[in-house]
Amino acid sequence: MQYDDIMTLIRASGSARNAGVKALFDGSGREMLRFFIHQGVSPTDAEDVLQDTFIKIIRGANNYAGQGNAQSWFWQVARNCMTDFLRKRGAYSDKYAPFDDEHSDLAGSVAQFDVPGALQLTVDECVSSGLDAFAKDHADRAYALTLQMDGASIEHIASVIGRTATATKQYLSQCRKKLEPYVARCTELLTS
Amino acid sequence: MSETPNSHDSEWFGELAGDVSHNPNSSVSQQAGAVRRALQARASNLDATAPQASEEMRDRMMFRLKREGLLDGEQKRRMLPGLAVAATALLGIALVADVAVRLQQPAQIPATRGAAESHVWLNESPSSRLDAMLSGEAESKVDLVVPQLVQVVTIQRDDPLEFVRRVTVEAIAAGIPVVVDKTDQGYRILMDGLVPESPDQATIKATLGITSSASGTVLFQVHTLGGTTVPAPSQ
Repeated sequence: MQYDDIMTLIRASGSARNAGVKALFDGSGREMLRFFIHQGVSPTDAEDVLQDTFIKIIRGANNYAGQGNAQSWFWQVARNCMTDFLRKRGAYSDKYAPFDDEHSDLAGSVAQFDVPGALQLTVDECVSSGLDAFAKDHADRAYALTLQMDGASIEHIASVIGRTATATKQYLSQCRKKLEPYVARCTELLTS
Repeated sequence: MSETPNSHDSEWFGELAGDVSHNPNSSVSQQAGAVRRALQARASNLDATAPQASEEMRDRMMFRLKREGLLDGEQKRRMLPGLAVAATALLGIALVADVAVRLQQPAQIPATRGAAESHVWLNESPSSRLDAMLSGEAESKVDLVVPQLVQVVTIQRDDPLEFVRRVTVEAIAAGIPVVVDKTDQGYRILMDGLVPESPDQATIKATLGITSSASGTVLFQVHTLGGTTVPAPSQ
């Protein structure tokens, strides 16, 4: 079922809305849970955030005016709910907003991340260490790269991060650029 | 890794996505490969901690939404879970349901029929019917709605629930989305992906696999077709 059809159902009432909620849960519930976990929500809290997301989706569905972008709107609600949740738990920094260029430079322009004992590590160990540090500073960007690693389409990634396809390509390119300092120390291991 | 950061994006992201590398020994590919392995390991660890989006979790979700007054509490039918199980079991199998039916135009639908007799008719405006259902103008229960609705088949018989269950399971198993619309007169099954746009009656019947026998028995066949439309069969 297409997400726009799910939206049509959710905006209806009665059993149609029930069917829409079920379809949305079946189609996106698992991935939203995964997204929350990757962004730092604890496994025990992820279900609560998902329920909050669905509540806000239903309450806001009649205000949805987009055409053909229901999936992006669902994900926008999910991101906002997660941010609200993390803020309430004190686990949210105003310097950090998922997939927001203007407020996501927590680490600024890292000149080069110093992987501890890099030269004693294998390439994979070194890169893994750098990636962990990168994900700590840029969980949103690490997740975008994870979606790319999963083979997700640009259109799907765009829905998840709330951008156009073109902007998503640029964003991913920026992700690579921002990752670079975190794994730069591993260069010598690659070439040795 | 000495290249300009945004250079070789295509190669780097291709390697990250696991595509076949055309230059596996380049530093770009090697770095992307290492990042891919690190991302896989990290994702695997995190995913293992994520709660399962199970049917039980969905039930808890529905319960909370009802408690919040956002869903009707009257929907206690357990049809879809049963259908899902049955559909899984039947997936990939082309199925045929034999039904004693008689094709009629909507204007010719009789008000009542004998209990043992079944009827199938075609609705010329399924989208209007769906709109009425969704707007609440019709007393209906919709289980699943499909895009580009092009066809409505309505069935009346003495065991409608069992029939609806059979046909719906078969349709879902065949990858065909359906809407089940319960009315006082019986159940309507709205189906998609079966007929071309603006088909004539003969094309609809042929595409649906409905063939009349001399005795008036109609064979109702659910095709295992993908997509939303199919070419009109040669007549």
